[in-house]
Amino acid sequence: MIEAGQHYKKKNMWKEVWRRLKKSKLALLGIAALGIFVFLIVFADIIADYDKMVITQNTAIRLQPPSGAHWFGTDEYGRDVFARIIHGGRVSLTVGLMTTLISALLGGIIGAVAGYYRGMIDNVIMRINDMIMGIPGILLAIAIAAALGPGIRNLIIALTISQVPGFTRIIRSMILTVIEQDFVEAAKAYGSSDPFIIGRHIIPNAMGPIIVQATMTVANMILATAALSYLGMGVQPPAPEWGAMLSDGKEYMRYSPYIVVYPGLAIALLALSLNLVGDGMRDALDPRLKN
Amino acid sequence: MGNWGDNVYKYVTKRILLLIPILLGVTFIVFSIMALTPGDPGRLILGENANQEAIDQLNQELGFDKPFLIRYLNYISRAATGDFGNSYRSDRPVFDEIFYRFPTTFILAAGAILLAIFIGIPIGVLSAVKQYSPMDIVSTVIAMFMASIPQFWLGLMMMLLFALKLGWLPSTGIGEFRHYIMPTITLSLPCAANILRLTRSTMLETTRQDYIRTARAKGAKERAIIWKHALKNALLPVITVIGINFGYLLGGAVLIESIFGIPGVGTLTITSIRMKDIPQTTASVLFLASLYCVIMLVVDIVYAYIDPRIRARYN
Repeated sequence: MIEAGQHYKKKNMWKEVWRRLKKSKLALLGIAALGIFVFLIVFADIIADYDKMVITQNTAIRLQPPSGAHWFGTDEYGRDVFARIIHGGRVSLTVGLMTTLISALLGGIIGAVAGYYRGMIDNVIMRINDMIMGIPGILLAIAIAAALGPGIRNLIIALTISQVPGFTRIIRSMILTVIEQDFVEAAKAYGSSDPFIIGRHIIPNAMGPIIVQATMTVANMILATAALSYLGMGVQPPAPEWGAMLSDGKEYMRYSPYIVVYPGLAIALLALSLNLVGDGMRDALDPRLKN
Repeated sequence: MGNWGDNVYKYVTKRILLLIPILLGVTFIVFSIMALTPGDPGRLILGENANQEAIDQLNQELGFDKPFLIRYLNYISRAATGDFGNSYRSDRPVFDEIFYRFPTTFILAAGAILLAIFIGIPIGVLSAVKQYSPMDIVSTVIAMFMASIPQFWLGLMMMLLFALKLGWLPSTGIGEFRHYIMPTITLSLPCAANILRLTRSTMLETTRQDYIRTARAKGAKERAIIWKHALKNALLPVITVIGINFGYLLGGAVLIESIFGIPGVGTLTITSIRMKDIPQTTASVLFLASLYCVIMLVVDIVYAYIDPRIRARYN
């Protein structure tokens, strides 16, 4: 009986969140823009052939301004900028999602342990956390990426390490607020095991803020990926990546500004749509703004 | 109020002492990261073609033949006496270079944070006072966009427009005031966006509090209510965000400096990371991290000082 009741209520909560999210025009705009990005990125292979348009160089058509054949123009090797952008989006979105997922998971486990058990473990975890957070995030990521060498895997590792402490801190403080509530007390009295209480009662109740944080982290990681690739750490040429496209195009931007305008716009719009969704989610989840 | 000064003194001392283990930890983290770097310093300094004997000898001199933990302890014990080693590249003490370049970075970061405060707080307040007005919607959307664009791209776009197309400002280098305009604005806009958004949301919350209603009821002027009663309370969380943003600025300066060719601590850090100049990298990151921690400490103290609720706890 209790199980069924809980299930019913939870479903209702997300329905309620969606109902309130729909009211925000900006959030809907964000969802629509995100949808377009995901569509272009998922079907990038069908829209533009990878070998022919993204990799193969053709100096006969280098640095051409935007036209019907090349919507965003061509770069210094005669490659189609639009094709490179939608294929490059794969890297940004993959790194953004992977980094966020892994760091939310790791941060979640570490934060949950710290917040639930308190005492000594909590102290040690949080002091180590403070140490990592003492280094400005982007600097930490740059140092790790440089030490590990280029490549998408190393990029994900570097960014993840810089993001875990933030998630640990948020999830720990969420747990500290949830744990005080009566239903956790009741579950303890009832004899539920610790992992069960954490997984069944605490995490679902802390989910809202975590989702908001995660959405914004994906946006920030897309920005960080571009920044690191711009510095030459991350994806290696000739594979397309938005930050790397900017750093290559910089030389030619005086007479061919479009090769730096469009990749940057792609980064900005993708990050913006994620932030709009995150912002809308935060308002929709805020119980004080109910009704 | 009597022993407030005493307690602050104790609090500050305690917090400064707490900085020591954190900075030791930061050193350890940076040291471990640099140890992941393939290759050894002897080869880096003498070059690929140097003979193996000379390389081995130099590695031994630098203590690089010892295990990681010993190297770390040696570093710490020498650092405690103020010796952070010499740069592999210039062979000069690492902090000479840092202190030489720091004023440039500081001017940039301080200018950017001040500009961000002057843009972010007033617009944030106006936005909240006129919630849902066209001005509020426009500034919210612009702020959202500013918080979402890659900072280095903003820098490139400004350079494209104001230096290459219009020719109003120099694109790179330092020297005159004109050189600082673009990098400072580039650094400050995303920060201003963060401050604006937070000021707006805390003001919205504050203006709905009972004491604001009381102030209105007793007939206080609307202008005084907003700018004195409400803003004073709404600013508390904003101060924390300003502190955090100042920290981001120091990190962000790394990229912006390299785009605008500014010889600050940021470019130094990037170059030494690239050249695998371990002593210089460790010292630069440690320096930026210490600065960040000190700023956060100052923020906490200011916070405690202006919030009577926290101040009361120390009496």
